[in-house]
Amino acid sequence: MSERFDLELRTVEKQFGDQTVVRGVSFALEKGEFLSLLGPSGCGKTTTLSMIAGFEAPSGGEILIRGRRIDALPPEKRDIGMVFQNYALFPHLTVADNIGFGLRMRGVRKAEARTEVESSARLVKVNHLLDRYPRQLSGGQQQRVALARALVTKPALVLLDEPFGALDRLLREELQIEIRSLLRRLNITTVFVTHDQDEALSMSDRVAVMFDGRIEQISTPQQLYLSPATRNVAGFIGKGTFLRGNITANGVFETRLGAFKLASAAAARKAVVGDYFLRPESVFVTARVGQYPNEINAEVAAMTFLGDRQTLIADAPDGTRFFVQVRHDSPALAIGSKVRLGWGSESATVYQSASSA
Amino acid sequence: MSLRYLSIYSAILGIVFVFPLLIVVAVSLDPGDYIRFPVSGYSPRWYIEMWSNQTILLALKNSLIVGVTSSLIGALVAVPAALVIARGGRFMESVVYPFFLSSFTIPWLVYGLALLFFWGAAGLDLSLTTLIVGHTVIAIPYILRVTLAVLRGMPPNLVRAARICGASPWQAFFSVTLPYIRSGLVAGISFAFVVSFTNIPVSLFITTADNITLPIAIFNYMVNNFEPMVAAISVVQVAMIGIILLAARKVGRVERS
Amino acid sequence: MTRSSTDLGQLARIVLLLPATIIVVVGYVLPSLVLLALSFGIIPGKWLLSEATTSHYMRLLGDIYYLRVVGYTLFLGIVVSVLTAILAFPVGYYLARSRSRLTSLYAVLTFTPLAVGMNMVTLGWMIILGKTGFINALLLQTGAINDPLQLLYGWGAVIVAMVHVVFTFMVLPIEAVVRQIDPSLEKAARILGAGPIRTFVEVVLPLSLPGIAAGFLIVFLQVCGAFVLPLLLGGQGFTLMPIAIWEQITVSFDKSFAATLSVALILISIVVMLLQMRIMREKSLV
Repeated sequence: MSERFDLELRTVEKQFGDQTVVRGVSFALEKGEFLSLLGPSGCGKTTTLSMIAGFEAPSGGEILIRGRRIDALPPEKRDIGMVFQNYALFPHLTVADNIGFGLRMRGVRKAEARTEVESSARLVKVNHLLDRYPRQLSGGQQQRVALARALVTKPALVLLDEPFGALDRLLREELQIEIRSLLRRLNITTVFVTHDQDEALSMSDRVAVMFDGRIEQISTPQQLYLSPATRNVAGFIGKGTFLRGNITANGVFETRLGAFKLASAAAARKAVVGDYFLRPESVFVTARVGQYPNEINAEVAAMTFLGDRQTLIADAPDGTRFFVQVRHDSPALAIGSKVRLGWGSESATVYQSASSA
Repeated sequence: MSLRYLSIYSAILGIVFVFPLLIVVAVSLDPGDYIRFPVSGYSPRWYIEMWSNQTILLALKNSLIVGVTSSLIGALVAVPAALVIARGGRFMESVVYPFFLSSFTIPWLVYGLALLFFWGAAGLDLSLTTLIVGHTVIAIPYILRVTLAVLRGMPPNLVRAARICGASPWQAFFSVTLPYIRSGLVAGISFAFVVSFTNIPVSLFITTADNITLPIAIFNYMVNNFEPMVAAISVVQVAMIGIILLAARKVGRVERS
Repeated sequence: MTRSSTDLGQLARIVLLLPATIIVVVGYVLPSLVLLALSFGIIPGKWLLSEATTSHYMRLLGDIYYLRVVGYTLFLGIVVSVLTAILAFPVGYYLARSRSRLTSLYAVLTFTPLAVGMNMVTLGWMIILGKTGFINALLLQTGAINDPLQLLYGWGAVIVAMVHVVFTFMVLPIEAVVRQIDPSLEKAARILGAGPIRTFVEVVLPLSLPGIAAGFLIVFLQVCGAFVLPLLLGGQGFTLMPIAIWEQITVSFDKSFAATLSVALILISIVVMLLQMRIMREKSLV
């Protein structure tokens, strides 16, 4: 058996009635790896997590922790720590009793448990709050307590179920960095479920993007952004413009806006119908006609300034919306003014439509 | 808004509602032989005399036994049922839950009559046990409703968190679910106790000289001899209810510091 | 459907539901069936010897005395429900909207009739309304009257005390429903030009109807089933259905007819409940 993996899923399936929510999900995590399950709501990521935790039984496939089949075990026998959405701290127990709950269930002696609780609490910096009740804590403090409770039993695997959703932005970013570095230091294998791509990209070693019960791409955050494997992934991660059309016999992509040149590899896929995809940072405003292989005229619809970056939103004559990343200190363009946009042939990716396959 | 006027109106109504109870207290202290107003004086006469009345003492003892037993048995059977019903499902919502609540809808006097006929048909003599069964049936909906309301408000992740921390289903119930529903459960149990402890219509036909309850003894007094002692007994009854409700509040209180 | 592993298994569900089911079946369903059988003249224990008959129902429908008893019962139910709804609405609204600390005190005050038992409330009103009671004593002493008034016994005394007893059942659902009405709706109505009364009639009242209807149902059922209070405050000849049932058992010793009257009372409850469910379904705005 493959004991080099802390967690392994093999073609895991889940059906509710005649509805399939998770289809053939497979992945394997090495010790200390941090994987995010990312996708829109209803994509099956939470169900997948529930099956790993043991709250739902898979309809098919296998789940292994450190080489041992666990899909038939009840949650309490799986050696997993979990941080829940809204934390699920026990309201009738103090912080210390919340953190020590798992030790008590395992029959750890009191004195020993106390030491463990204190060291866990120190790890997440809540050791001064041990006698409080959850309702007396701020959201961030509750989050830390929940993490301490998940870590105290030194589990083989930690699951994080949208743990940052209830926090405001600044606190969220601070905690993300802190929790990530803590988990890295402890070398704990982690599965993190989120619908927030920024969170997934910034924290993970690898990200699995799920749509309709299927993992469409599992790769490093960089690869995910730079070379999205499917149209779904491309549209979900970051911004961009899709142009509908088809690759003609002479190797250009024909759309209502005109024909655009492709990189030679892409151009070879003749007669493919699909979407031509452009990232905002691949599109440029040009003053000189003919500077780029592909150019169009557009009209400024808006400019959004976000401090460190600025995006120009411009509409092509047929209404297609283009996003263009411009320097953050470049002057604002008047809404309604005409611009010429251009891009290189290599920057575009073509995603074949499912229907034309 | 005119919340001020509403507050005055509510206060006046509150006073009107408490007034009859105060009148009973006043009358219970009348040493005279019949009930009248204004009272002829104040003395603890009837409070002393009631303790030498064998019927009253027996009725009080029976009522405590029936009230405590029926509300506790009610809790013992209603809580497991609530756990199942709270998990939902169409069948639970539309069949099981209404079935358990159905005794709410039958008038108590009619239910008491049905019990009289039933125990007669079953060939069982009326006893404290037969009385307890009846009171348990009417206790179940009260306890079930409160417990279910609390369970439905309970985040489902709490039990999951307990399980993933290593708790077995039993451990999760006793260390997480039970503490969570405790205050609601205690409220339901104490309410069921009060209902039993003051119930006349259900008990009326199924009490005999042996298993008479306090409210029935009071009822007999009110019908037959209308003397201030009946007021004294009623006041004692209310005082006991008050003590039990206060104690329940203490038991049911959730920790906060 | 595959069940999740933290869910209860089919067996566990049955085991958990079983104790309550046994008690309800033995303690409630079977007795109700016996009552039903008896109302048709079938004597439990002598199933085979007795013959089913509808004669008791015919008697009920043919006797003007009992029809009047049914009528009185329904009439009292309606009068008390309407009066209680009118009296309780302001209190429910106040409890839902006020942030004053006094509200919990008022809540306790309106809750008392439930907690002290019917005998206490009945006794209290008997003493207040009696010939030698509080009101007569007050009026005699101030010289407003020379002979004590007959306040006790009859509709007046029963209605007043009954409203008192059922008040909480009306306040609670009204309070609950008003709590769900967004206060900004009232502000919006005022901004749009409605005065306080129009705001109440056109916004608050329609949205509160489900709560009032719920209270109406409970109160009506309570009144129809009330026994101790009307018996003692209504006096001789004031007969409602529960009192008539009691008389059949204690005076006429006619078990079968008592059962028939009981079934009729249950039928009334069921009809009222179905009516209310229908109205709720049509009117419910939530």
